[in-house]
Amino acid sequence: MEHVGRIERKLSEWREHGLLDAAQVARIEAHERSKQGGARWVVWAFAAVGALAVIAGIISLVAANWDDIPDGIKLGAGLVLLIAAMLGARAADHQGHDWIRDLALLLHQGLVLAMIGLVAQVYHLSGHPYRPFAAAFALAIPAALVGRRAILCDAAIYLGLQALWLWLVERELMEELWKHFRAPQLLVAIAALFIATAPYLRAETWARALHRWAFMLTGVSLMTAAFAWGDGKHFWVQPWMQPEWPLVLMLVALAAAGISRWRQHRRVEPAAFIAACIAATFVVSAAWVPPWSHLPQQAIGFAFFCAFCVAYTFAGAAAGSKQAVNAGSFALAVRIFVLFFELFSDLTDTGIGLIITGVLLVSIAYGWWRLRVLIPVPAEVRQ
Amino acid sequence: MKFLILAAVDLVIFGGWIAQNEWAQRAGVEVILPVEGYDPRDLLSGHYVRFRLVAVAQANALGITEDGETRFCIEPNALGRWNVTRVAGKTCAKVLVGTVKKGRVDFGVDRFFVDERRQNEVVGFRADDSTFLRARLGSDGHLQIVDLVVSGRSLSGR
Repeated sequence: MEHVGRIERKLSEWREHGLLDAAQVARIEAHERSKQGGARWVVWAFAAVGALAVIAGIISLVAANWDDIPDGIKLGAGLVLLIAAMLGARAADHQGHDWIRDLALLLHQGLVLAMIGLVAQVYHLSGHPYRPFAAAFALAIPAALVGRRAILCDAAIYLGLQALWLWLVERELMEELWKHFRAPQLLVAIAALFIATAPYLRAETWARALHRWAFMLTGVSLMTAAFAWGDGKHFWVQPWMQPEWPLVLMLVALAAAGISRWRQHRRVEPAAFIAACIAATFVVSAAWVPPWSHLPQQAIGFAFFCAFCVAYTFAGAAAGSKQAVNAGSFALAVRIFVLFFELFSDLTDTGIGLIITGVLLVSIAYGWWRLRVLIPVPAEVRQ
Repeated sequence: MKFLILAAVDLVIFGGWIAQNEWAQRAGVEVILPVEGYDPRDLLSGHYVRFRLVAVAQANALGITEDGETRFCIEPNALGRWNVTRVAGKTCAKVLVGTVKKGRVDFGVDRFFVDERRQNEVVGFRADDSTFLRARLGSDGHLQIVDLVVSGRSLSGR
């Protein structure tokens, strides 16, 4: 009710300023009233929590008596559940329930992996960990093709990437890949492959999923590069890791972003160009002029990380992806927390630093919000 | 129709896999393989016991350097325990197939899944003469686990 009342106040204000006419106001009010139904959401929330509690209870009971259940029943139940998920998807498809169909397909993708684990458990099979993921990936592709939600493609891509990762680990290639920072470069290469492939796919869900994964893999690689390079010899970075490679990755990303921006607008803003030149010079001199100065490297690495996080967040906002915005903001917040632990030797200083930063950020957020409320929207934006 | 095809694919793949394992557990020769060490593990929610066959050490001792699949001759001793004796030749009655990688042999069996309660029972036991693996040796030379017996106690309860 409060929500509708707030909207009604805003609507009357906009109508007074001539931004909306009476018919538009009436339509918006009718739309917002149709979405009200507060009690309905409470009922749904109770029902959802109740259903989850029942499912969790059944799972706990089965788990508690797992050893007492004959192997044949376990395997039979697993197989029945797997096929029931697919037949359930078929029934939902016939009745036109798209969401239920795709939910059943998603369940099927998960059940394939669970079924592989169950057979391995019953027959005590051991082997290469990448194989179950590769098999689940192969079986997840048809499910993603018959469904219409991109999350089915996301699940299939995840399984494929996980299989690839485990295969690299099993082949003992991961250490070599980290040595010259090739693992993040491999991720960027996969992202480039996804972007290159996406336009040729007829299924829009696959194209969207590939773009999303490319976006995420690139973001993760760049943030890892900035963190690893800025952190120098600390934390998880191995002493034999070559520090130049994360730097190269970051510079290539900067160049790619610059080229992309230039292609979009056919011009380079002078201030941005000068800032980029100064930054590049600073980075190159800090990296290659001996003796190594740890503090500038740490500071620059931190700045790179924050810049990539902010760029990632804004790019996510521009693409309309709430998850990307949340991921970028979360990574930025975590990095700021880690910086305090890097800078201060004891928890008291760290705590004080975090409180000051927190108050500062809340003040900025409040100031931003106040400014947006107080400053009138420019005419060109309104249009 | 496409949903029915996918359901049929599930049935064929998993049904076939289960049938293959069931057949392997029933066919072949039962062998008793001594275990020289084991290590109770927790893999996410599933519990398993990790063990090392004496046969692995015996095969490693043969000093095979070439990577790839190798056939070993396996024979029972007076106590009925089966041991790797040599690289399989023409006179070998029973063959065990292993994969050699960097001089180390792997027979593809190294874990036994157990219930959480049983896993806690075996913690603290030491491998001795009454600790062994019961398995079926197929005509293809591969092992199919039947039971793991730790200090005379069957972990499968069979």
